[in-house]
Amino acid sequence: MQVMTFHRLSASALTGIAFAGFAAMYLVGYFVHDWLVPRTLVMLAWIVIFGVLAWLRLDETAREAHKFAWFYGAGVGLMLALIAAMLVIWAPGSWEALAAQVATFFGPAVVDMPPALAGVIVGLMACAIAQVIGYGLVWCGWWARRR
Amino acid sequence: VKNKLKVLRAERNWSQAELAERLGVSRNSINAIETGRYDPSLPLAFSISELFGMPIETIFQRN
Repeated sequence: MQVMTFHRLSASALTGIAFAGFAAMYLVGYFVHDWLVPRTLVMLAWIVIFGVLAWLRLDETAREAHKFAWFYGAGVGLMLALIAAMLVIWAPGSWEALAAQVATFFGPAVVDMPPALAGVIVGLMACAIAQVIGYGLVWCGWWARRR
Repeated sequence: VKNKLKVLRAERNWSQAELAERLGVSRNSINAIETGRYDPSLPLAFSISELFGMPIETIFQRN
């Protein structure tokens, strides 16, 4: 019975479960600093499993929107992140305050790291965030044009 | 590519949601195809063709 109910879940519901679970685990990690690597692996496994299940339930139009958003949105987002990285190299002093602010977003675990290591984490996460923002904007634009 | 999907659907008194269910796609997809803002893949075009019992070229034409 439970399996049948699970099979009826739509792609939207599965995507919601993927992000809700990911966000919940992220919030737990913000306050509980132990088991960082295993927790991160569980978060990634969670989002991959539910992401794949959601993808399998999408029709071709929805998949096309995601592929388009990934190529153009996330691609441009990553390029902008790399341009930002060059600006940091060009004028490092002016970015320190912003980097410190961004580091607090990822919790005390990152803030307490050695600055170089925290910088790497913040840089990687900034790339991911830029991709997600670009992805989201282009995905919304794709559907807005086809409504 | 333009198509006669809206006309064919109207002739059968099907809603977009009903057609979407018969084809196994979302209503958004049907809307995007009907308005010419999305060209379906060949497998979906074949499914549409089989559902309406018409050749693909009767339903879809080049602009």
